[in-house]
Amino acid sequence: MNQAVKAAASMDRGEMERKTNDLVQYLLIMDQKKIPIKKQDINKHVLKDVSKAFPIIFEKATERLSKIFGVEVVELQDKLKGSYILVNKLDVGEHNPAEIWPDEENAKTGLLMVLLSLIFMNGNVMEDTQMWHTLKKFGIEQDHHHEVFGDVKKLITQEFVRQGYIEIVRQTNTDPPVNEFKWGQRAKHETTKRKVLTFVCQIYNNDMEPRQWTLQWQDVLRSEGRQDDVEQVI
Amino acid sequence: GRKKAQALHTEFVKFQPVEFAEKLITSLGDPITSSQGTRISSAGWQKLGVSVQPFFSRSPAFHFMCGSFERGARPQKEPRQIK
Amino acid sequence: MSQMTDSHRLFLQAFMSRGILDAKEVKSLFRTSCEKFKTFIADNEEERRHQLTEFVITINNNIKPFHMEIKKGVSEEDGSNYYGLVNISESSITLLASDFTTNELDLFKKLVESIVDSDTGSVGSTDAINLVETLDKKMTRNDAQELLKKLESNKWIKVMNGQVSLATRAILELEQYIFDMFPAIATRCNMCKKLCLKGQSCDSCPVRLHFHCASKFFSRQEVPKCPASDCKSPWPRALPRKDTDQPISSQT
Ligand SMILES: [Zn+2]
Ligand SMILES: [Zn+2]
Repeated sequence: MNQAVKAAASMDRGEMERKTNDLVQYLLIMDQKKIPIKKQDINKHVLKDVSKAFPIIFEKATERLSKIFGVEVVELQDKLKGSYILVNKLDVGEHNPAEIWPDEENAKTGLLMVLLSLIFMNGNVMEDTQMWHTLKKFGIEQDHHHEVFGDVKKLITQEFVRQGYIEIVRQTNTDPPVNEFKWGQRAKHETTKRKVLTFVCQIYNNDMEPRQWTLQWQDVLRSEGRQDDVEQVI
Repeated sequence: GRKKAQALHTEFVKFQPVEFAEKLITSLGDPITSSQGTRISSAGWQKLGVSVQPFFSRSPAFHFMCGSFERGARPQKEPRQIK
Repeated sequence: MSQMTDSHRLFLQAFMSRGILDAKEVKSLFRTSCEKFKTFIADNEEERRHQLTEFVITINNNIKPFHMEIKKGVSEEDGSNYYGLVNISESSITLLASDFTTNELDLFKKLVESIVDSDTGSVGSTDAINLVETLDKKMTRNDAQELLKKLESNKWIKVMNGQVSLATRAILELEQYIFDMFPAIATRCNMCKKLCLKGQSCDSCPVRLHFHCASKFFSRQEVPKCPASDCKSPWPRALPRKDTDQPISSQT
């Protein structure tokens, strides 16, 4: 860190301001495709010769994104360490005037919620064969061009994965090896198990209370760190 | 404790993916039924998308046209003739 | 610099995701943004308009360092007011935008050129699609069709009865680009001095007027005459009726 402090100290105030503002602009532009933004790309496209001061400039830029745009910069973990996503900090609740998304975006979000629901309700994992079997029920097939989503296999197994919404884990200890669908890190930051369970209950036109899905409800409580309530439910 | 409770809750509600699919189709209202089975219409996916947006804390990106392309050479143009 | 509250942030986020709003939409967005986060909102109209202006000034002061601005624009169609979030810089960073591919942007640039070239400020949609032939890299006509649809849904172009024209959002953001790239043929409206793509031209001098500017200007004259002091020839076009924005006789 002191290397960064030294590098930052050697920069004049004007350059520090310029690099910080450029970084804010860069993050907002790179967020167009919702692909996690890599630190090395930030250094390559924005900081360039002052990359050593990354931590200082990055911290300033994150603060401005939060204070001015109400957007939080989140670092991803594990194999995605060193890449960042932008998440909305404003809690706007039900009808949301801000989020009037283009049509194409809306349809994809609809499909994404279906995938996340299937995975979560199925115990946070679903084998790809079962996933595709279920998706077939509403006209989505791996090798068929879809009228709305086009190459839907590419959308689900590449775009949603690259964006960090979905993770596909290859299980080799089974014969034949199996691919499993799981929630990606972006999904965990952009939504919650409680919200998805609420959605599922809506789909079952609220015949059942969220807590009636006993296993999933316990999972919700655990995900909210409410250990004691979990025991009480059982 | 746990063993007795387990017996009580024998009939856990089991999640059936296929049942979920059927409920989803009915809840969206205008399924397209054809020879290969039922499909959710484009409008259906739209409607679903709009209704689930509030479940996501998605940050809006910045979109623009000016500056997103190289200007390139200025084409030679004759001034407008007065017709 | 005055501080942003959550109401400002919500207002700004709506502009980021919607791009451009008309005056009515801005007023209702302002109301929702304030009510949602308990920001005081004046109840008389005059005071609220002043409050909205201050609100936008605060946002613009805060986003200026990122070369962003909420800018006021006017529709060429009917002169109504619009507000759009625009980018006011061209840099290696803005070139990283990825809504459209370079080839799609090349086609859009050629479309802009042919629209500015035209007398009516619009081109037929088939002519627009034929522009694929002028591209260096191949693009199928079907892809061009899809591109036009996407440009329209993102509010960059308008397609009305087979005619493609630049939407207010594009004019708001690209006006300077058009004057810089096509100085010989890009003309300003004689009244409002803004870029005039759709409008009426004088037959004997280069004067051009937007429809809505013409109807305002000529409403004060019995016999419509060209506003240019060195011209003053009778204004050739029939007057567009005040209430409709389309001229009575079709454009020749
Ligand atoms: Zn004018
Ligand atoms: Zn004249």
